[in-house]
Amino acid sequence: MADRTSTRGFLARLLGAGGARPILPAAAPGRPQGDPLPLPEYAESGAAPVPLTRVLQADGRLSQYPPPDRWGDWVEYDGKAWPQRVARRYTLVPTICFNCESACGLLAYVDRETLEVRKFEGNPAHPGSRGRNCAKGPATHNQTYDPERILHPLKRAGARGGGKWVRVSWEEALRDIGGRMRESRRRRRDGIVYHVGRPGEDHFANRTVTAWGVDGHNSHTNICSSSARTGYVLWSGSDRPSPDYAHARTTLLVSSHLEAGHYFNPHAQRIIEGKRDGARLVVLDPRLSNTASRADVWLPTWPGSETTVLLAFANHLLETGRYDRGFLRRWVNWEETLATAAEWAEGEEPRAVAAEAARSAAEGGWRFEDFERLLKALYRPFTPERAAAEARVPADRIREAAECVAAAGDRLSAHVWRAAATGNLGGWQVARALFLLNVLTGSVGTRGGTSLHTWNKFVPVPFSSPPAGEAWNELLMPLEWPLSMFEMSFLLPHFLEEGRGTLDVYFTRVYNPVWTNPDGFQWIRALKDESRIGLHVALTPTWSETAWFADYVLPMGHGGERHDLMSQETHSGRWIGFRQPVRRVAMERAGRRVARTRDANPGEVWEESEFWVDLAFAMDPDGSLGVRRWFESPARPGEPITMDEYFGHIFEKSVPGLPEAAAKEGLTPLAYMRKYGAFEVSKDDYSLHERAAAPGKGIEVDGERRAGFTTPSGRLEFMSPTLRAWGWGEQRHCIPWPLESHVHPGRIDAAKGEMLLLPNFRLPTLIHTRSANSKWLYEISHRNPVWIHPSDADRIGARTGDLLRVTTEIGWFVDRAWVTEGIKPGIVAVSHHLGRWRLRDGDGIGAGMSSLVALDAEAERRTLDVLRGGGPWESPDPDTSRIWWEDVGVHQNLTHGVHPDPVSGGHCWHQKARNVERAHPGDRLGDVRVDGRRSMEVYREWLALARPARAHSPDGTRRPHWLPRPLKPAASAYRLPPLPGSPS
Amino acid sequence: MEARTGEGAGAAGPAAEAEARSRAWALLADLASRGPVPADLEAARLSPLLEEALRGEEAAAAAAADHERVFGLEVFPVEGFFLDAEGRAGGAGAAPLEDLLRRTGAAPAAPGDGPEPLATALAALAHLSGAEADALLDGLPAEAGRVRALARELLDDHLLRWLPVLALTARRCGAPFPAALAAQVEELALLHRETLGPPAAAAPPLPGGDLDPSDPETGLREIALHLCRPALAGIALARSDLARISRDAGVPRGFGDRATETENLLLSAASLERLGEALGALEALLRGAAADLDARAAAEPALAPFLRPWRERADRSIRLVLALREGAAAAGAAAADGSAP
Ligand code: SF4
Repeated sequence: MADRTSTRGFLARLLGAGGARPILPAAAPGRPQGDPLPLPEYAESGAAPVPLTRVLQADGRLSQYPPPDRWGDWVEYDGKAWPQRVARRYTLVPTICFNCESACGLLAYVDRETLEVRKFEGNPAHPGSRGRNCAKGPATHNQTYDPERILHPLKRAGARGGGKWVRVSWEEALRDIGGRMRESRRRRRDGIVYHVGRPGEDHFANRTVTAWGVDGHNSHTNICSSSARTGYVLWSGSDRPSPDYAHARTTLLVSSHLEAGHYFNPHAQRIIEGKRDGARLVVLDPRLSNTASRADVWLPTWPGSETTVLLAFANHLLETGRYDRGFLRRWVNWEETLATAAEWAEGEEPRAVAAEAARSAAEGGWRFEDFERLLKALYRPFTPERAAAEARVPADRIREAAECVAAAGDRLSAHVWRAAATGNLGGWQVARALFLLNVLTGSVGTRGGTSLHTWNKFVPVPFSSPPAGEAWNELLMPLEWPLSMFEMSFLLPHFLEEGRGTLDVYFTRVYNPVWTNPDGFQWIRALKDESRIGLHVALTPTWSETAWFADYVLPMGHGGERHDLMSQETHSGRWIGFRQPVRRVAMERAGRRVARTRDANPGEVWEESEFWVDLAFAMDPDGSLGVRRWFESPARPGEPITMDEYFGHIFEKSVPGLPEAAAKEGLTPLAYMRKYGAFEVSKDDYSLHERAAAPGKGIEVDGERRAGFTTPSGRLEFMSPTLRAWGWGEQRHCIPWPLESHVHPGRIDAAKGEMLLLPNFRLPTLIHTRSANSKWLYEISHRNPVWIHPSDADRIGARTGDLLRVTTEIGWFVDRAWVTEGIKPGIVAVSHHLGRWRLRDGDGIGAGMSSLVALDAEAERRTLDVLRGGGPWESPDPDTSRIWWEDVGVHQNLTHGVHPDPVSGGHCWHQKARNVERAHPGDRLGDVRVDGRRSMEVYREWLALARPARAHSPDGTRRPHWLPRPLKPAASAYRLPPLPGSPS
Repeated sequence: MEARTGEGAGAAGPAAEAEARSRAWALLADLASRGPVPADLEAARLSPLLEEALRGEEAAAAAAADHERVFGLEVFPVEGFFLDAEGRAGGAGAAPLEDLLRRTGAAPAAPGDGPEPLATALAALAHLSGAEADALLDGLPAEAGRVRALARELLDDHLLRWLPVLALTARRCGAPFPAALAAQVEELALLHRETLGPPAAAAPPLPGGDLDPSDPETGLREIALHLCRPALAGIALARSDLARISRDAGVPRGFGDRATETENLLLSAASLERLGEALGALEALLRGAAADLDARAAAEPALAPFLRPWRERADRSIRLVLALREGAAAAGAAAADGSAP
């Protein structure tokens, strides 16, 4: 036995040190020393610990939440006061995160004494996120208490972009903006435009723009998901998939879903659940993303080869006979396909099958067996070897992945949103090819398969809806892209530069095109030109590069500061979420009356929904424009509708099951939603195309009326009659087929040092333009280095940390190298979620999150010079003096030429890097140069690829009427306009 | 009640010893709970073990950082982590412990903490030692006997069952302060136990069943979970252990909780055809841990009964890894000669 001399000595010394017996750690301060330790103190509300709501997550973790019946008055220790045990009383108010499109539930902990929001956590009552959030959800707190927040409406003083602002009242801003809108609306129906980033709400703004009576909705879709949407909509009529990941046998992702995909957190948790239950995960991504690292099969495909790889999987299904004949026969437009095949099929074998099918049809009708033969003949050339050669991955890996797809049966959940679809010219065919796998396996709408978003997203109806307008805005939907999904918003400055038109009032709403869109210098030029954009109003919770060039900067709320409705297709089921201004709700719970949300938010920060109501009254004070009436209270004619009235009506009249659920708790539907923040409308909505349809509705399948799909044929359109009718009739366009990307290896001369620049990936902790005011998120990730393979780094003599100059087709930027095997040789990858900048210290984006730059957008040679990187600054928040990083990333998008896909209209993000080399003497991290002349040239090169409606419309309209638009004008507005000079 | 002072407690004798122990337990409870905060440094340096870990200008800051890392990320000084079959606080063992703590009259843990953190047990021992000193000074031998019985129960039925494994794991993590703190706690626990009568002859078995690697339901996830639950595996697998295996075998382990990292590690080892190496490194770790248990039992016979169940579990884990290695080798051979299905 040890003699413990050392410990005995320790005890003796401790005793010898004298003094009183110490207070034990759990004792509260101020207790008489040595007393038996007290029971822990709770705040006044009571002493008994509350059993928490425990949720065993599918990944094995146990989460605990305050039970909803205690949300009104919740007591817990303040983590920041630790190790002191300071009890705080909260009222917990549910809301919806506003940091990405997933619409996860949050629970705001509002201090009952101070009404400050202490933290945001997950809302366990939310059916989509189920209590969980990504890092960006709780970071809403940073955004709420950002010391650089815009707290009051600001109006420009001096030249636009000069950075001088005066504070104005909301009334003054409303009067001026409303007056300008009135004037414009009296003259024209295309002078007011609302340009939205991620909407983050489901209908209020769209209803508002419709009520204005203009064609004025401009979305960010075509720098994001246009191509994926095009692929899906041409197949099914619905522009988004809704995979049932949790029950899949195989999940096939063309993206990095687990870290940053669409509906990031809700999808990621269900993919993991599926994996836990044995699903295989196959990922196509040239980059070793976190998702790829979790995959069973990772295919680091060369960008642009994805369609070929997917068609190789299709070939495998066809060759091994593991496709769902019954589903194909019932639901695919195979007869129409066979009937037209002779016109578009290429290659000896497909043409022979088409001819034979036509012959037998003449005798006894179209035969499904001929369709099967045609499919096999078409896709037979897509061997694993061909896919392997194009993708530059081993053929065995292609076979392995194809086998995973085949083994899925009808439980294949698959998704593409941005990634390859938005990276490549013709990227919409990636989505066509991916969905072909769902169709072949019959995994459309099945449990574990892939549904359509319209089946899993719940959109309620408000108390009244203004009719579609009679207007068509050529600056949003020009004739060159009749099939675009949707508005060609990223080309607005190029259209203005060409003199295609002007705007009277332009709203940017939580959107930052100067920074987010390609060719940002062009945006700066457009925004500065008052003859092209008469009034620019930035509605934004944070400073942004775009807000700097506004006439009004109007502060709008973050996730806990506004009313909105949200629903997303997160899984097989439908739910609705209610975003709330949490301080307002807390005040009202405490019995205080709050007239407007801006009275409860920090400073004068407002919310859009109330703003739109008041703006309608300012625009149309006497009701003569017919705008105001859509915003009047149905109960109090002539007076503005309140949020309680508006949303209360929806919850009562338009959400099935909600009134009953509320009644069970003795609540009104509105009170129920204020309490829980979300409601599950339905569960397990599978195979809705098979629903019985009334006579005259849907389509006939095997002698019965079924709901079917929302395509013109009511079926899934393998061969797209729409593409054929609108000038895209070649085989490579009208059926799922690879298109040659603009970054095809044949277009990149590696011998000359050319490489492919892959910019379109997110970091999971950042969200485009919204996260630069979050200190927690920026501490986690603040730089966007150039991922470069060791073989390429060796070739140019670069090591990690060295400055590189990356030259694109219109300019160059300087960034640091990160040498890694996580990217394929020949490709450099730079996330485009970083590189924020400001033009002056003390104004604009926080100094820890942005570089101070000097900018020249006027000259032909456009420049952005970094004067200083990020760093600490003094503010009421002591954390801002602790910023330890300098590199805040590089704004590479400035150097991207615009690449509108001729079919989808989406920007094709990948760039050809003309050179990647070590930086030149004098180059500084973040420096950017752009050749203005080349910028317009590149625009024109891509414009030339388009097939305009004027030359290709089959019926004298601008666009197929069945294709969606966020706000569809009246059918009469679809007529092609008369040619200039012709009699109207 | 007035607080007792050092002087009042007397300079020698059982009451003074109990008083000194009470102070030491209180100090160690505070260090376990908060790390080396400035208020405790002077007293902590009176312990040679701790003094060595706190020597030098920057040592206190480094020790605080190590404390956070080791006890916040590597190994969790919480009874349920070691003694619960699922490695979780709040399991079946929590209620008896809570009951015992209530009987001691010491502070119940804060809501949310549960009764199981190390600091709570140490604070209770401080309270019991203080009460023992008071009872002896006040001439209340029955009361002294009652609190001593409670202290023995707390040590034998709870703390000593897992403290030695915590101490060994903290040592493996290679950070001086957490290792020294755990060692000092163990030393004091043994010294305290020596005052409480004959040592325990046996300890209760550890909970939880075995894992059958040949069961088709046993996948990598199940194996990873098994290995990450100390009571099942016989070892508290720390993140740095995983890092070492990952490095030795040359396979990535990704990010996530320990079970996820373990699963990642096995998964990537399998797909990189380095499963043999990874399992070899794991086996070496387990054998090392088993040898540590033996060495501790030899050096401290009073700990031997408490270490025995851990040793048995470690042996079982070694057998599991050997079976997996054999399986992997057989699969590799079959693939090489083309006989794999
Ligand atoms: S996934 Fe999106 S909505 Fe959900 S918490 Fe993260 S940022 Fe918020």
